[in-house]
Amino acid sequence: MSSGSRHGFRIDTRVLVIPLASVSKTIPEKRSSQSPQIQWRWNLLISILLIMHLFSIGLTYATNWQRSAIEDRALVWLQPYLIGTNWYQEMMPIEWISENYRPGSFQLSIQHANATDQWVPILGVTSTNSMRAKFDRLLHVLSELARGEDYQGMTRVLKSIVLHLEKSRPANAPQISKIRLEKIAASSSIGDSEEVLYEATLARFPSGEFGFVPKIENHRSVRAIETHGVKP
Amino acid sequence: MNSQWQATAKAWSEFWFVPRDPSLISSIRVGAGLMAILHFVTLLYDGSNWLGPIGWLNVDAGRFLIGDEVDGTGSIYRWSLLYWYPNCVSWIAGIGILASAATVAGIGSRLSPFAVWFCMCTFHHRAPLITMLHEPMLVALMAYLSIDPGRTQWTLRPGFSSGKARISVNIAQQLIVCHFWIWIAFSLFSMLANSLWWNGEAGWLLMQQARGWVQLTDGWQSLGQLLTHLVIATQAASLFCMTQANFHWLGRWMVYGFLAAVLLLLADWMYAAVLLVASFAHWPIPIPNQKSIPN
Repeated sequence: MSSGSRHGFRIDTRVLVIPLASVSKTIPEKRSSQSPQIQWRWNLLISILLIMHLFSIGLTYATNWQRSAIEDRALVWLQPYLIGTNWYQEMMPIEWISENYRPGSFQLSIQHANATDQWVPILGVTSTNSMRAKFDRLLHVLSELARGEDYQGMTRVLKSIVLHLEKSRPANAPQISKIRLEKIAASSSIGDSEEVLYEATLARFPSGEFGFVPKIENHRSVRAIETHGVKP
Repeated sequence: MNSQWQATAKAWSEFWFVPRDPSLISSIRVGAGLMAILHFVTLLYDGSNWLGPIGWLNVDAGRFLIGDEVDGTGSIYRWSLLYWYPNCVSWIAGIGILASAATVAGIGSRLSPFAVWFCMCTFHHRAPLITMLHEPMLVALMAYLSIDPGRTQWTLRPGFSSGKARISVNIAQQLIVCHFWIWIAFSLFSMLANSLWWNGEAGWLLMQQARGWVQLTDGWQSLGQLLTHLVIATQAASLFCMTQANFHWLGRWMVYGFLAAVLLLLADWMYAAVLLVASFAHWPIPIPNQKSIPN
């Protein structure tokens, strides 16, 4: 019995495939090699795969800005297909500008050991047009980590950035001593304000390794956050 | 009820399972291949700076961002070779350029677009959070072209070198049609979920910060707001026109208007070009003497 019968009508599932068979009869290249019976079975199978594929695409795009629990479960179930074949997209910049992240409104700056009161922007306003899109994406990632207070994650990404900067700087250039992610006022007309989202001092070890010691609020009276085993 | 279902099933079959001339998909293949060449050239130039052993996003940071060893993130399905061989960025970009050139030339049948898809996925899986706007659509085009790339040469399958109509051409082309429609739909929905696109500030902010080809001063706020509303309107109109054969001519111009907005507000010409190529699946490119292709 079809599922529709309980609602007062009955669906004859054969009608779904009969037209497929009738169309397949008009296909010259297939007529000689396959019987209509086999052809409509192939068409039915391909139709199911096409529907599942397009459904998965719609799901992965739809879940980029809001998702329900059932969508989340469906995504996890579809991960082998969606991620394995690279249809899954996270934080897709499809909307060009979002309420959480406005391009140009975040900036990553560093402070050198010999200039303790001067912040040098490395990502953000200084980026050239051709590089800006990729830097914007990296800043978006950092801003999401800061917003989620994922300081361990921040540390791992910032460590990669600092390593890159240190390896690509001239040999006699001063070392980086501090790093800071800040939200800058993109437009005063919509009430943007400036805010430091994350700031840390680099603690260097004799081995050459380094860790981040996040700046803590002045009023804080409990133990400071420990990062990578470094105690402030 | 039965007749309605039969009509639906017949329309479905006619949409997907009718042989189609490979001229149009061949043109899409050439356009997508050219875009892929440019994409890999930028990676050859700058890829190591981002994903190399001492790049902006090294392997450790990359593994963290895909949620490595965290349940439910699906990181086990990220198969990029660059996690194990971070020095191979330039090599993979180089292979990508060769595969893209072969795709443009129609060499290697399905294998060329598949190789391009593989190289693109290698980069995406390595750093999925820093993919650019044009990349999801370009990698999708390559996946669909791997089903049938249209007319090709020097292939082991003689059928591919001819202009013979094939069902696989139709399936590949209609998948591009559907994917493009879904992409524009979600581009529109994501914008409508954002108040900046309702109050006109989105376009204005982008123009004020010179994200695109034009930079406006405070006196031109109204123009920025007007462009914001036009971006929404052109997408909504495109979606409607794509589904109505009689309005295809108008849909083409709506998509062109949307692409012009991409250039004016974002200056992302790669995104505009990839969308233009994908839109050809809806309405054939106006090339003289081209066979008319039913849609």
